[in-house]
Amino acid sequence: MAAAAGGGAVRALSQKEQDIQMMLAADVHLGTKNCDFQMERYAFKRRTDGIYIINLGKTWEKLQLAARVIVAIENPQDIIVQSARPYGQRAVLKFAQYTGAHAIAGRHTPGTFTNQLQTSFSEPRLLILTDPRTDHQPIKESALGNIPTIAFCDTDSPMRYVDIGIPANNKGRNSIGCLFWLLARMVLQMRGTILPGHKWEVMVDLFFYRDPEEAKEQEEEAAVAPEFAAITDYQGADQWGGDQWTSDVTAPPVAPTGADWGAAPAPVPTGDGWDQAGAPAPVVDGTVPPLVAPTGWDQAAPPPTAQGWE
Amino acid sequence: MQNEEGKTVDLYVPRKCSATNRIITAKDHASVQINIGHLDANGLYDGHFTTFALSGFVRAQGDADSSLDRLWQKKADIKQ
Repeated sequence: MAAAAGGGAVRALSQKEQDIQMMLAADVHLGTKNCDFQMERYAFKRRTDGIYIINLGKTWEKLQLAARVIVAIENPQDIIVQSARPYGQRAVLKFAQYTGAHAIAGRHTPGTFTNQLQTSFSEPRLLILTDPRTDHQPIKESALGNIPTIAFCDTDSPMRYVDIGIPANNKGRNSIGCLFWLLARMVLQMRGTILPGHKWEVMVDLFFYRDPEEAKEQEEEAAVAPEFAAITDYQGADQWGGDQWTSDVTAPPVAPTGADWGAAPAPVPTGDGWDQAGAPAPVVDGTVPPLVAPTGWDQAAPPPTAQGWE
Repeated sequence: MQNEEGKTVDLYVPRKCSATNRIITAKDHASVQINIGHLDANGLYDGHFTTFALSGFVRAQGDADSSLDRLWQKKADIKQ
């Protein structure tokens, strides 16, 4: 029993410690200079420059609690993940892809939860936000529709209408992606999609925001390929030039043909004899075709003319 | 309410806030009900959950997070 408990403790500790190390690497523990009085219980210490440090142990516990709430909902489509902050848009889309939730990446259309006349109207059972300050509109509308709210809260975030606040740095690119990755993995582990003791193959980098400049760089790399093709065409042109050179080499064999032409005078006397022998035959043949041709032409000409004239 | 025989007379018994024992009225649109799932020894969700109801007053004050933490800690301790 003690050994088994020890083994379990070691596994749990190792998993939790790995997660906390990942959060440290992603700067999840850095808060802001101001601290809301309701977030003071999550602040661990204040640095000399005035920045509050968040207790990552409590962050991990709140992530676990949030994952329990997410798992308890039967239909994942009833969960809405919202992020108007650009850094969280990719993370939100990936989270929705792996957990089956519905993602709203971008501006929240006012009235989505309250105005049933809209095409995007929906009544979710749970709302997950990146920042209570940036996404204040969905929070207000959730207060009018009995919708529970989970949010990543910085030290200066307002806590009104937030039911589960996960204390974290929600202003860093790596921090937001890391948090959503951890939450998605916890949800999948609780559902059984990821067997206990196995790692999740999806890299955390997929959840990080990518600048449009990086996409441009990749496009430039793609543009280099046509240049390589152009170089290939240039080599092809060289080969064609080579063919011309080969044809130049063929020109000298024409000279032997000239020699053959020089040999033509030799048969000239024999040719004269042949011409004399052939002269009467063509004349006879020549006489017969003219007789036939005019006859056909004369016979064919009058009828069409008469018909045309009529 | 109950009559003198101790029987419940009301057809509709409203829920109560788990944190402050306030009555959650029918027109309290800010109130929520949160289900926290239970896990087995392997860390898998076993289909059962604990329900906590919070009134709109608590949420508007911003105390929903701390209240839920306190309630869940108490529940977890009892469970353990």
